[in-house]
Amino acid sequence: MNKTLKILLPAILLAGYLFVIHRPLAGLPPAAKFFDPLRGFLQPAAGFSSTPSHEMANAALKGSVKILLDRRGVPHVFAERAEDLPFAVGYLHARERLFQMELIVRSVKGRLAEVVGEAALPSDRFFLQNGFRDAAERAMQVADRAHPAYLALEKYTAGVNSFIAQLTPADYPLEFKLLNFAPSRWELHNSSYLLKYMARQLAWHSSELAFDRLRRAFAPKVLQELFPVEETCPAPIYPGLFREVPMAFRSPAPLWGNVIRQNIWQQNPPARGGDYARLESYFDDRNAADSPLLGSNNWAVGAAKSASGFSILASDPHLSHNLPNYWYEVDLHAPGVDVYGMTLPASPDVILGFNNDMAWGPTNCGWDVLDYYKIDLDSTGQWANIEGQKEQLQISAEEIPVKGKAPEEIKIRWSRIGPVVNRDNVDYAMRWTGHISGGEWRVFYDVNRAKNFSDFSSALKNYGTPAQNFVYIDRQGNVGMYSAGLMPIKTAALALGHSDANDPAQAWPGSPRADQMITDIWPEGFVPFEKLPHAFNPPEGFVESANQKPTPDHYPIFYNWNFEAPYRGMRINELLSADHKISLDDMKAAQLDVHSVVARLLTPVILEAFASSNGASSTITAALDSLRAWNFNFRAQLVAPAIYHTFYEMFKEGIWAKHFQAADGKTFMYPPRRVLLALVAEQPQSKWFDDPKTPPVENLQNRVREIFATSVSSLRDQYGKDMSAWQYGRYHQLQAAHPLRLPNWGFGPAPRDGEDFTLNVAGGKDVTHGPSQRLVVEMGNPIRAFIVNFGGQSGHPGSPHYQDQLDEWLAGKYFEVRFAARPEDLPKEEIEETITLKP
Amino acid sequence: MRNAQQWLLAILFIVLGGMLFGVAGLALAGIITGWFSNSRKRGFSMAGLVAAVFWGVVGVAKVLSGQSQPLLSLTASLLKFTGLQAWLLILGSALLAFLAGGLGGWLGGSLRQVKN
Repeated sequence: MNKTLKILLPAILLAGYLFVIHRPLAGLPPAAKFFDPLRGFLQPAAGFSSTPSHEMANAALKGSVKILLDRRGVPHVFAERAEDLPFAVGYLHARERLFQMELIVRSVKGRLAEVVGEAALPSDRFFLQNGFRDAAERAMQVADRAHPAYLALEKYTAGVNSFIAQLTPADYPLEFKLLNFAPSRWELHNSSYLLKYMARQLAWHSSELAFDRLRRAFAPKVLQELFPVEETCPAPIYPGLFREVPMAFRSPAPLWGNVIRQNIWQQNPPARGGDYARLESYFDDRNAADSPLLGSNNWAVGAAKSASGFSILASDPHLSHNLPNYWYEVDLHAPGVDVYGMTLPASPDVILGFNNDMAWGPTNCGWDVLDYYKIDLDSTGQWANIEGQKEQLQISAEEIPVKGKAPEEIKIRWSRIGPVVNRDNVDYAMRWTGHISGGEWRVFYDVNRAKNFSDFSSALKNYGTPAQNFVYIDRQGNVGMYSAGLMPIKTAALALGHSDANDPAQAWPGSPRADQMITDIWPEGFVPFEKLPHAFNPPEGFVESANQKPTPDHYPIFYNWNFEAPYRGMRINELLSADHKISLDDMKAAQLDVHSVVARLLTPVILEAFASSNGASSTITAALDSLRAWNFNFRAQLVAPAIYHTFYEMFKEGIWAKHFQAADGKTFMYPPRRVLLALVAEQPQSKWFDDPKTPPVENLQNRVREIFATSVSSLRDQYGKDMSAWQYGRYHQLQAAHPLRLPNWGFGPAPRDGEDFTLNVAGGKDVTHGPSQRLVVEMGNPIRAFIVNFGGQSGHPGSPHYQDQLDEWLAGKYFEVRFAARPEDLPKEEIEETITLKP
Repeated sequence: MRNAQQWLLAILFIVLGGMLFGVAGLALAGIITGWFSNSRKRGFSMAGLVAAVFWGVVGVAKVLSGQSQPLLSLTASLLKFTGLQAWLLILGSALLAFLAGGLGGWLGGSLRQVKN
């Protein structure tokens, strides 16, 4: 071999080999980096601490901060100066949830595809073209920079960045290594992205286009019967509202007249037609009326209703089950601030929890705060015809970077109404409170420091979207509830109908541009904060909310047609109205309650349908016996819930599918579940129980018999003849996914108690949403609190605290909270790690 | 004795190279090892073996120490490896190191031979 070849051959082979293994291949990270045992997949992220005590210095700190992490990974933070608390929270969030935070920010900024690839392009387009990023950034541009909450955000930002700055690539969480990118520097407005992200989760909901299809196909009378706009809620959140709100509130101006108890079905459809495409694809029409809005429970009893004489609060927000979960638990102390509860990574304050004086927790309001308007764009796409006037749109062209591909160019259009989107060659402008609200960043700073109901409600004045029902208790034994957020004043037609901007009948007065943080995008503006539904020490002695309609009849504002069915609210009322006084244990038991008031209504109907029957098969007879012996509790190990639940799902589909199938094969939106149950209870001979495709005229009883037999057969086919094997938990199972949807990085499937209507909510077959945490607080002396998080504190898969609370969560157990005023008050044996942050 | 010195030097360079610069460091250390071994074949086998053993031992030690065990399982689950199959990842890591060190050793040995 000649000399040159002797050197060239290994040199080329080595260079080629090094080149190949340092390159990402087919979406995989470079092998040289990933399989390096010192820096790659085997190197734990910086959040996996193995040292019991460590220190860090940062010039942004004014005093020292001591952080004691307990056995669950909950940080007990003691700062010499209150202004340093947000720094510590930012540091901790970054340490435990860096990838989660990065994903949220990238989602709202439309930069997911940059690191994930083109699969994330639809998400990036959605967030950018629907104005989330712009709205989040505008909110911070106009923020009052002198407000201490703004300074807290600056400190929080410094805290996050101080953690990121100390990382080497070897310290990155595993997800960064898999996707082969580095954490981004944290920006102050990232916290605003989080708020818009949550607003999208909780307040981005509209049935308008589904309604529009219905309106074209069905007579107004039918729609009036099955989609009632105004109805009496049996258990509104504020049953006594009109005892407290002055009459003047009901009709303060003629302009409010047209929103009082209107019936949209008597109105003309929009003048300009068109086959309106749905703008959202995450649910189909048939379920739109009962779409998976993320619900929640909260309730509280005042001193007079409490067994201990102290007011007690329960709060369990229902969110999608993810690992890591949204919540990060903290215990924060500094001069003037002592607060405990759940934070959202990307934001420094406690969102739900308690301080020395009061406790609070939210549920989702479910107001309709998203409306679509059809507009005409000219051929250039730069001008819109609105109200007969040409308006130049604000258009920005942007590139979305895509991993492994050329960037995609998109245009983002804003009209004075809101963002402009196009679907199936129809252009719409949308109005959403999330685009115009911007004060949320300061709300929880003030709430964390509130001492009484007056402070608390003052803090909520800046709250916009997603509107929430905030429950409240304090040390004085008081109890209250405030539904806070932007509630647009609008007609039912605007709320439900897809509105045409060029139709004079639906014209609205000129409004300022959406980018000026206006409050009058809706023609009549918003309900003043003081007039929003609220209650303080109501005569019942307790307050509760479970996403149901907040107000009783005669409320003057139309704010949605379709709230969550009232059954969870009814159950809370049932439990809290009991003769005996309520204890902490009662509150916990209620959060874990799996008794269904709907099953209690429907099961006798099933039994009654077979009461006079002879010749039912032995399987059906056994199934009926099982139901007869059932106490309507949805336990995973029981058979009766499986029999009932399978029937109920088939019943719902069986009744409506026959009537709501369009000629083109598409399914219309079904009536809400509460309507079907009302028909069952009150109109067993209703024509809706008839199958129009068969000659005989069926009634409720006929259909129940037929569908029950089918559902029992289905269970037998699936699980065999032995009925003891038909346990509910065989198919009703909890699933929690990691954001990257990687197999085995989530949790489940695991048998799960509960159903849609139980307080311990667990809808569907694959249970993917439910209580995201459970908190019960008694404002005594000392304060007693119990909590359990879904998952754990850490966002790092493989960390001991990634899902260490899941077993307790599933088993209905709680951890007693250590709300320690001083580090010395914490039992030493419970402390796993100490971090000291110094200036 | 000369052999033992060569092995010790190889271990020293490769451990240092790997710790400081990862795979590229292993390759660089392999070149030095090959140079001292004065043989391309010996350089390839010596540097490759030491690099593979070094990374294999580090991988096994990290997993056995506890904190990296779940990380191994999670990564293995992506490839649908179960149980003992997860250790194939450590083996793969060692193989990667073997080739980097070995090719470096080959090049270093060749350079020395050509110089001589």
